Formats: sequence, structure tokens, C-alpha cells
Amino acid sequence: MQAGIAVGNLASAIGITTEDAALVADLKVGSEDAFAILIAQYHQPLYSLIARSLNDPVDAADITQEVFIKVFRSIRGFNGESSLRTWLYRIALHEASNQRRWWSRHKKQEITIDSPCESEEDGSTFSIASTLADSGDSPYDYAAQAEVRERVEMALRQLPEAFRNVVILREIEGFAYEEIAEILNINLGTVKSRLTRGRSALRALLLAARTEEVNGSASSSVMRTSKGAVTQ
Amino acid sequence: MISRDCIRIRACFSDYLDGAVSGQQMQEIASHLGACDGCERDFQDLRAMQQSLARLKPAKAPADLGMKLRLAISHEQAARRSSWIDKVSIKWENAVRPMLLQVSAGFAGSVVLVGSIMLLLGMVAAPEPVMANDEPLGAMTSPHYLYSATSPQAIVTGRDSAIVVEAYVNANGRVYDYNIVSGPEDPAVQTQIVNQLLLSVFEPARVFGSPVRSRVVITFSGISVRG
Repeated sequence: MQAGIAVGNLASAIGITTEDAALVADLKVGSEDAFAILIAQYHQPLYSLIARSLNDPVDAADITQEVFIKVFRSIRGFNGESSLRTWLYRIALHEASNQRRWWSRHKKQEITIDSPCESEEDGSTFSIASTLADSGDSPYDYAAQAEVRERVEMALRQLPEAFRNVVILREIEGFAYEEIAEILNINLGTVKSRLTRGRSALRALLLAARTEEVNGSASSSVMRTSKGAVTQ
Repeated sequence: MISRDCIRIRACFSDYLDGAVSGQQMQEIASHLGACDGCERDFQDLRAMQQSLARLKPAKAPADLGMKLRLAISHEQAARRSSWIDKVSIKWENAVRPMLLQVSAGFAGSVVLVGSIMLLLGMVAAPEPVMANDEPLGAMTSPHYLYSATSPQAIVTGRDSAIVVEAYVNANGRVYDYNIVSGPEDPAVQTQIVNQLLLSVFEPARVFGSPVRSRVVITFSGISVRG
């Protein structure tokens, strides 16, 4: 099954499909219907990708609009060497990257790619597997899962851009290595290395968040206990 | 303390998660994980993280985003169309329109000037005379000798006197009959005359430019006398 998906992804990475070719031909002549189809098909996944890629997801709608306008302006230059999806994701990530640069200049300094990530060799015996695992479907579990998702989203946002893009494209969007290489215009080896380092960094961030959370709750319980002792 | 094996195996975790390792590597990693608790825990962490990433729902786009995008594309299309029309109209306004009055005035002036010149020339100039090379009415031309198919040979005869022959020339300039007006009439001489005439080519007589049959009088004066 996974192999089948991988082969499909690889095929789409190699070239444009027949359906895409017909759509692209219509887009090139400026058909409004074709653009309506394109928007219906891609606005949600592109928005999601951009929202995750940006530091501030509030800007995601505006960036998505800029992406589609860019597509409208440059569709005549699309030569079909890559799939339409790959091409769209490349534009989306490029626009998101521009926005991030603007954001980092004006709002906040990003974590650089070379900044040392919290190493897994920190001697901690803490495991995140137990806290990230799907434990059930009760309302409590549902709330816990929502909390886990929030924690993962937060950690993802703290990841350096180069790692974050590769991790999102691979783990969330399900692209093959070859497609990621094409979208980000990097070679296959770099994709694998960034994915390895991105996963490690994300794991370290999740561990750190979890440790912080446990320490926070422990100190608050100590405070509650000491407060109780004082009252007595 | 982490062993070198653990470091090497952990470096392959990412590929192992994606199933991007060879069968041998896969077996090696699996057996190491079975034996090393630390690596097993780390790998389970990575797998749990991968699963939680895969479970992340797509960030929900605003409900009206699709409509806004379509509207933005429509505006772009309108802008593209109007920009083309604008370009033409700006060129017209800036380049052609300011010159339009001058160009029109110039053209009208040229028409008036050329017309006036033509009119003056027509009124003042003398009517064209009859051309000298016109064919005059009733003009007729007589035939005349052009050349002979062979080099002319002297007619051998017994008397030293000129021979006058009346030759009938057709519209093609060839002799079709003859009559000896004066001179010896013996068969030998006649044969020589016939040969000379048959090989001669004439410019035919013309009436109003058309070739017609005619007569021509020929005198053979170069006579070779036998004996």
C-alpha cells in the first residue's frame, strides 16, 4: 500500500499528469472556470501548509492569496517538468519563506539552522512516546489529544525553517523524498539529512516542553503542599 | 554511556521510519532495538512523534477564503484586460493624438497642392502631337531582298547580257512564281534562276502592317559567260 503511494508520488514528481495537463492548458488561456477548479482543489492544502510554515498563522490567508495571484501571473511559464501540485507547493513555500523573512526582520529573531538543538543525550530518562500516544476516545482523551496536537504544533513552529519545511512536507503532506527535493530545490541527500536533523530537533523540543510541563506541575504541587502546611 | 553501535543505529532511525533502508540494515536495526533499551525508547519516541504529526489535522482555512481567492483572480484578469486597453489608449493619447491635427492638415495640404499642379498642367500644357512613328493610313511597303540560304552563285550563260526576272513573293517572303522579263530562256539558265529564287528570302510587302503577296523585279547582272 505504502509502496503504491510512493510509486504514485514518484510518478507525480517526474512529470505532469494528463488531468493536470488539461487543467494547465485551460489555466494558460486564462479560463476563470479553470482557476475556480484550481482554487477549489488546492486552497485548503496550500493554506494549511502556509499556516504551518509561517511564524504567525494569521497571515496565512493573505499569503495564500498572493500564491494564487502569483500562479495566475506565471502559469504561462509553467512547462510541465514537475507536477502541478509540486509547482504550487514550491510557490507557496517560497512566498511563506519571504513572509517569514519579513517577520523575522520586523518582529522576532528566528532560531538559526546552526543553533544547537537540545540533544537527546541530556541524560533524561523521560519518554515522550507515552505522552504522545493515542490512548482512547473518551472526552478526557479527546481533550488530551487536542493538547498533544497543540504541543506538537508549537514545537513544529519552533523548528528552524529548513527543517520545518522538510518535516511538514514529509510527515504531514506525505510527499516522497524526490518531490521534496524538487519543491525545495535541494538534492536528495540534503532532504534526508534535514529530515533526520529535523526529527531529532522536534523530538528534543517535545521532550523539553514535556519536562518543563512536568517540572511546572511538580513545583505547583509543592507550593500547594507547603501552603497547606502553613495553613495547618 | 552510548556505544558506537547505538550512534550508528540512531543515525539510521529517520530512514528506518520511512522504510528507506535495505533489508539487511532493517534486520540489523530491528535486532539492535530488541537488545538496547535506550535506542528502543528513542525510536519509540520518534515513531510516536511521527504518528502525532500524521494525526495533525490540516489548518482550517477561513470559510470565505475560496471566494476571496476567486475574487482576487477576477480582479487580476480585469486588471490584465484593462491594462492592455490602457496601454493602447495611452499610446494613442501620447503619440498619435497630438500629431493627428498636424498629420491631417499636412495630408489635406498635399492633396490640394498636387491637385492644383495637375490642374494647371492640364490647362496650360499643349495637346500631345501625333506621334511620328504612327502607322500612316493606307501605308504600303514593297518587298525587298533579305538574304539567300546559300552564298549567291554566278549564273552561267552563253550571252553577256543582264537577266531581268519578275518574282512573285508570298506573305512569308518566299518566291512562289517567276517570269523572265529579258535574258536567255534556255532550260539551263532557268534552272539556275529557279535555284537562286527558291533559296532567296524577302521581306514581304505590307499593307497596314500586314504581310501580303507582291511582285519584285530582280536583275541578275553578275553573269559568267562560257568559253
